[in-house]
Amino acid sequence: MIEVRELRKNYGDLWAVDGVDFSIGKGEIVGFLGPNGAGKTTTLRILAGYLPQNSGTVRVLDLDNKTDGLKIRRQVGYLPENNPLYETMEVSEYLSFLWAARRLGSAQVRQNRLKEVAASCGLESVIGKDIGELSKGYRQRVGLAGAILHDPSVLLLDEPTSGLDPIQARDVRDLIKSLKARKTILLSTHILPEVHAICDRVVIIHKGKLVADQPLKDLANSEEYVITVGFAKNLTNGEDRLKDIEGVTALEGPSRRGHEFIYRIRAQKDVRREVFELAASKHLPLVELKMEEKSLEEIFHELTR
Amino acid sequence: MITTHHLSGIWVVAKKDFWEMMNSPMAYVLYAIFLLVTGYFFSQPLFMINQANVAPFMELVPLILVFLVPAVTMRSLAEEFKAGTFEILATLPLKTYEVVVGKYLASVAVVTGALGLTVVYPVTLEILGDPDWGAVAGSYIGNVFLVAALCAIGVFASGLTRNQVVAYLIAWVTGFGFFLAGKVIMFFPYPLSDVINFMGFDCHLQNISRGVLDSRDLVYFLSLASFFLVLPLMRIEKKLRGASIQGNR
Repeated sequence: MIEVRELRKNYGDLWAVDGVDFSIGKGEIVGFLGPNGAGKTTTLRILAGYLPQNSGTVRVLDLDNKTDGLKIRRQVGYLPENNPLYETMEVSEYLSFLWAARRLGSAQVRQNRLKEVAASCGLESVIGKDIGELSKGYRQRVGLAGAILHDPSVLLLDEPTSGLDPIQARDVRDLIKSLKARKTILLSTHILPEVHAICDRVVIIHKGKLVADQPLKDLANSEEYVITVGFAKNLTNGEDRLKDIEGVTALEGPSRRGHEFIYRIRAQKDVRREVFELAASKHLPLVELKMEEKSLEEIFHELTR
Repeated sequence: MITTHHLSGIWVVAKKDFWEMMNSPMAYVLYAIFLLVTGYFFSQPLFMINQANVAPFMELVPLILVFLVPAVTMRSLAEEFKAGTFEILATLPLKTYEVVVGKYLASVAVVTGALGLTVVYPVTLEILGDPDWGAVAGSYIGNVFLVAALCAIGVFASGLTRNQVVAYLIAWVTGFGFFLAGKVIMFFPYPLSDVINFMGFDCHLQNISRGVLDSRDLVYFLSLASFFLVLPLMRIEKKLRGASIQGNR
């Protein structure tokens, strides 16, 4: 559905996007990650038809953005960064304007679709209000309603939950999740739990270059294992004993948690069995033994260092 | 029932811009100022020298328009750039010319509305005396063409910046330049003076307001309008599509 090859775009001396490749298949929801200034917004703007690339090819729905930009814009739903909206328009006026600009159909069809979209975005109660009077959460929903009004098969969302409080953000996330399966979605964000909540796959870019493109579950697998061990009392020479286990590369702790003493072991392999055997043979009161899943934050941090 | 489905993108954009302007207090403040100033120049000869004549008022309208039109057009593109809403417009399946021309027509409509309100002055004269309706009609037609040119200059200026004040000043300076051109020809040697005279508004407006609808004068205003509309069109097209205008993109 979306295919980006060798994409490059510069602003003066700065290459905002510098040779990015990725493709997104039908029905996928892909998280587009990167620190601020990584080139996410620039990439989305090129896909949405707001910016031209300097080089590289962009194909959306099998259409080339250089020759079929208008057709792409007709079929893509786009929520720009910061969600700009016409403040003086009422919600219904705004959606009707988009409807007319997209030349979607008669007034009757419009009324029905507007009702449908307002219901799915939770906008019924504010449909007659000026957009300028709405809270940020509602504004975001208006933006999303505008992006899905024409039932596009491809959705480009640029930080759809930025600046929202946790409850508003969850509502917007639920809304996006409800579109899953029917649409191909590329969602830029730097809120990592959001990616966990919504996406199947992540594309991470940093300084305009691609640093990762894989399913979320594969991303967590790496060469280093982190294991948390808890004991009910403070060990004498505990550090040395744990460090002696084969494969252990580093040890943190102990840190106290209530009456427990917690160590974090970094190892080249899964050493939980060895830790258990050590505890059993020395009669150490083992209360916790757990392999940590690497958080997306850590992965993100490593990749964008 | 007419549905917007059948109407082109130009109409959709024009309608949006027109109502945005009419829903803001700005339009009414401008209308009030316009009527106040024109009203003063209309009533002064009427009461002071008992003359039922629209000429003194009509001669001033172009100068007032040079000041007024940039105030209407300054938000046209600049505000969309500033508020970021241009990104919405640009990513809709609209062609660039539909956006630019739509915005242009909206401002022409708003200013023509202000001009239309002044029809009350010649109508008053009809009650009091016997105005020369040929001259009146000619003046109005001339001024509508002038509005067409000034609005294009305004949209052009608005497309250069995200700052409305800057847009106003650029449009005003440009418009005032054309306004002044016909008034300073005595400082230039022939044939330069003729060229400058032809470039300025004055000689064309004079012809029309005398009741002479010469196609050269109409072509003058329309070419001026087209020229100043093509400039923002090219600029935006380059920004969005990275190339000069190309049909269907």
